[in-house]
Amino acid sequence: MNDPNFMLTWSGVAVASLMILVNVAISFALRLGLAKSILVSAARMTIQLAIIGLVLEQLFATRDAVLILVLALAMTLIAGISAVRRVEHRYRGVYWNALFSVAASAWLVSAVAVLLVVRPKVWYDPHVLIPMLGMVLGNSLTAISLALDRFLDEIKRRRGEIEMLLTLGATRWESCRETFASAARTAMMPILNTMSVTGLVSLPGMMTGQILGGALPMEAVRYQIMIMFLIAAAIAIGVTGVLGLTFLRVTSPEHRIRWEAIQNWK
Amino acid sequence: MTTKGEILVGRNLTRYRSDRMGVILDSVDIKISVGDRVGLVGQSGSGKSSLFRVLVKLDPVERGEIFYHGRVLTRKEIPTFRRHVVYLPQRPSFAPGTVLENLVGPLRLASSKNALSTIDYESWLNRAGKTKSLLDQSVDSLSGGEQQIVSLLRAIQLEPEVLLLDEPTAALDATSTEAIEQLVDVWHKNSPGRAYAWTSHNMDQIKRRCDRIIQMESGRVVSSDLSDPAAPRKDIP
Repeated sequence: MNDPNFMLTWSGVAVASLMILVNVAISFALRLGLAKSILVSAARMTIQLAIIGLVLEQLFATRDAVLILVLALAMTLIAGISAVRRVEHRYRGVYWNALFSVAASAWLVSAVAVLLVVRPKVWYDPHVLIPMLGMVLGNSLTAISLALDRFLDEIKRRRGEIEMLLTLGATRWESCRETFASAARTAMMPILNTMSVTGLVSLPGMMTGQILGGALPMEAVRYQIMIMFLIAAAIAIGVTGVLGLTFLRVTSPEHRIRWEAIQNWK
Repeated sequence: MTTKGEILVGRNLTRYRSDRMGVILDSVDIKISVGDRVGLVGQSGSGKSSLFRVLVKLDPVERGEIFYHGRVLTRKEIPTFRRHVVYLPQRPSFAPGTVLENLVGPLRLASSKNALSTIDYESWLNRAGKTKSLLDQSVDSLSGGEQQIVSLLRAIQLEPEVLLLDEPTAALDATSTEAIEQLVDVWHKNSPGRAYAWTSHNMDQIKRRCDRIIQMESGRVVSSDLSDPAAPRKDIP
């Protein structure tokens, strides 16, 4: 499979890493004050990926179901926490809701992919489960984060309009429906945009990686199509889930908004 | 729990501040009966707006009960109740769009019994010194007085029993103030079952428009009758 001509060595990676200096130079030139953040982020990314590489090599060698499951759970936990990190307004229980939504969406579609689509010999085959779950989690968490941020921000911004509807007889759902839909649209837009230009403007990372790794283009394309559908489904489930849970938390069955529950975090 | 003719009764209504370091409403009792014209006076922060918000269940209470026609409402009944007892905040809010779109919006809600408005917008606008062309105007272009007029029409087309008017004429000129007073008056006289509560800093207006005055101070009702010697005679700052 692998063409030795395309084997990427660590010295090659080192040359590529110099590209980050372009960002640093621009930061200095324009006084963006981002140089430190850029270097820290780059270092974090490299270290994190190196660690996960070592872990995956170990896992692939041992194929221990418990260890694979522990890794999958850890990835899910981190995704749930990360989904809330950049959200400006929060409420008590937001982490649980984000974690539940990330987990439910990513695990559900990954289960469908593993058990019904790819069907490896054992369901926990780390070659299949881990990269698939990682792709789905990464995309799902971004969408959940966007949805949460937009919904909570807009519900505060449109306070007058929402209360106007409530005072004229709207149910809590009627008063928030527009805000809910707007947040869902915002969160789903990136994947729709990506799907519409994939293959024309961009070759997705997973497909590029497979082709560089020696896979046949049509094989890589089949995998890519599958993963795009999985990501789209996970985003739809995750976004609806987190918005639904948030709606229940920030509104009361007495058809009012629990303004006191929404707190500014920054 | 209530005597005949009572529409809305609040008993022992108590609401704490969110930091629980003080009270917004302190054991407030209030009663609005058929035909009532209640004036609510008190300094800013005395709890007038909070009382209105609590009465329509936009804000919760830590203690106390609200009775509507002698009954405590179930959760399911609250949207319909809010069409019978409409709270109009001091600053009206609108959805983006025209005046007409804002007027018909509430008629499309699930709790609405009427798909069409029960009032003739044009004649009500004429009463307020406005013409039909206002209906096609964007809500963004409305003056303060026009906003209050539209907000009032939007409420009265629901045929409410009670209007809770939170300083509807604050910061309005004399013409707009007169238009609002006139509209509320016509609405009130159109049916004997209707009542309103009106907050204002203008004592003359309250005396002119209301039969009964409730004075609030630091979240408490300190007097509840015009004939009470403690009742204020001057404008409340």
